[in-house]
Amino acid sequence: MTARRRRGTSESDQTPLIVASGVSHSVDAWSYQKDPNAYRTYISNNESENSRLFVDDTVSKSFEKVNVPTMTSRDRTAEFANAVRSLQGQHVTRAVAFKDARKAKYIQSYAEFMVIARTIGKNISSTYTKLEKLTLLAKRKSLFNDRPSEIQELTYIIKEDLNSLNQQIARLQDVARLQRQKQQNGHHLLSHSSSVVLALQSKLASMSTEFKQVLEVRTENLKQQKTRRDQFSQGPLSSSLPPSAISGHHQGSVLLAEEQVTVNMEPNSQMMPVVQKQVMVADETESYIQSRAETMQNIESTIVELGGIFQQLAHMVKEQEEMVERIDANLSDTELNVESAHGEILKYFQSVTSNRWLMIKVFAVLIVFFIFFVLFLA
Amino acid sequence: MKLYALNILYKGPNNAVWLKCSYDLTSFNYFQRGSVQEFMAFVSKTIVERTHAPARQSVKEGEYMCHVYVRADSLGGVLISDYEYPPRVAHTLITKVLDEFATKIPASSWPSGSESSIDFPQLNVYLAKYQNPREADAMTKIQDELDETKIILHNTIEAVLERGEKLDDLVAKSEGLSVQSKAFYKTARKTNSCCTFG
Repeated sequence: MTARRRRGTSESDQTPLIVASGVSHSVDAWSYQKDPNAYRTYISNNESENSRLFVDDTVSKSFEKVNVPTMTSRDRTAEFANAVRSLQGQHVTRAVAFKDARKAKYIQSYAEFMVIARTIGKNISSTYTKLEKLTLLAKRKSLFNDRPSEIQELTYIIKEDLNSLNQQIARLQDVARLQRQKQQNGHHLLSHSSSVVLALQSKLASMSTEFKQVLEVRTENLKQQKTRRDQFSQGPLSSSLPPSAISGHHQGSVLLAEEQVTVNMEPNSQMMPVVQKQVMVADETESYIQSRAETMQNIESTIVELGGIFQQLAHMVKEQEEMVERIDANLSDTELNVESAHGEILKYFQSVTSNRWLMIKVFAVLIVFFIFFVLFLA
Repeated sequence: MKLYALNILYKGPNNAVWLKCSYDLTSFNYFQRGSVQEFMAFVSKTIVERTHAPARQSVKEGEYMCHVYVRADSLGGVLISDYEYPPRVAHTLITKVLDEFATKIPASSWPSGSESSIDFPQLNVYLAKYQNPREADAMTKIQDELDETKIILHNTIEAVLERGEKLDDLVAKSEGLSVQSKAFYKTARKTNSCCTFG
């Protein structure tokens, strides 16, 4: 029964089209399945071209592979039924084909699970493309072309997507758990569903870590831009600097210069070069300050680098210490072995020297026997 | 990288007044020195007059560079050097000299001062010291020392790597030695235990 119901709900968008064709049949969703013949007769009853064409158009809209017939009405019931079945997915036909009701239920629940997993997968891929776009935007380092509103929008959207994906995966997990509780699904189906959930979760986790990295990169870039902007716009380093430098902008000092020039009432020939010199002077002060700042930064970075090098050096020496200890152990083993071998050889030597007495004794006995034999015989 | 002149002037409302000058003209021909000195004096005067206070400037003048700094209280310093001298160090030197001059000699005597009336011998000392910017300027010195240290450390790390390789060698050899000594011990034990005579 559940299969039938599903079929009906998917066909609900078909019914208004047919109803609106002008024929005042009260078409019922159930009638399609119950009586395919009714459909055929319904079509053949339509004599007017308009409704036929309309019906044919609706038919052609739903079945893209079908050609639009031009003359008489055609019997498309079988194709209609096929399309309905394909829209529902193969699992329904398989479920219907299986005589075993239990297996059909398994496969249906599994199908629900797979549908949800498919949507989640699609959402993950779309969120991933958005994340890539955000990465591209965040990597830009230019001072002026920055588009903060877009970046913020994208960030917000991606956050929302991540949250909703999280919830969907949680729901999927619940569905899987429910299925496990309600019916004893097959062992393989259970393990498959759990592994699918796991894969989706891991994809989501990797995407969220990438998102975090992109955000970090973006904040770093923002900081860098801020420092660069500060360097370009102002830079009072020492208190002995002239006030025009402290006031900051090029504009300020140039205006000051022009004022001074007009007040001093110097000869005209000197005005232009003076003004130019003033502009240059403002540049000079700032460039002087900038060069000092740069030097300091260089020094600082060099010192930091040196610190790193020292650390590496210490690490390497520590690693090598291990090897030295191994060499030590090997050598002590060798010494032990050599000492014991020496001892063994000494013992052997002792035994050999003491053996000689035994040998002499044995020989003496042998010689006695020999003499005895000879005496006996002779 | 040479410094030729270090002058302190006072920029009056109409013209500049030399307060103290020091020159290092050893690189010039003996006969040219006089004219070169006069030329430098006048160049520094003109430049200070042309520079509005407060400002720093580095002007290319023939084959020399003039670094000039006029403070807000109209006290100005001019340093004439060659192209290689780093301008940052030049301005640091001028600032330092002017500060010291200002503390030592009261501001009241500036407008009316002249070379003979003002006593500031450190000018020559500074000019001589800063002939070598590496030693004199603190920042340059630090940077040079750091670079040197970095090179030394790189060499050290290479040496450590070599040491590592040698240690590897030693480990292998000692392992071989240990294995062979063990075999030696076993052989010795075998000859001892098994045959009584042989």
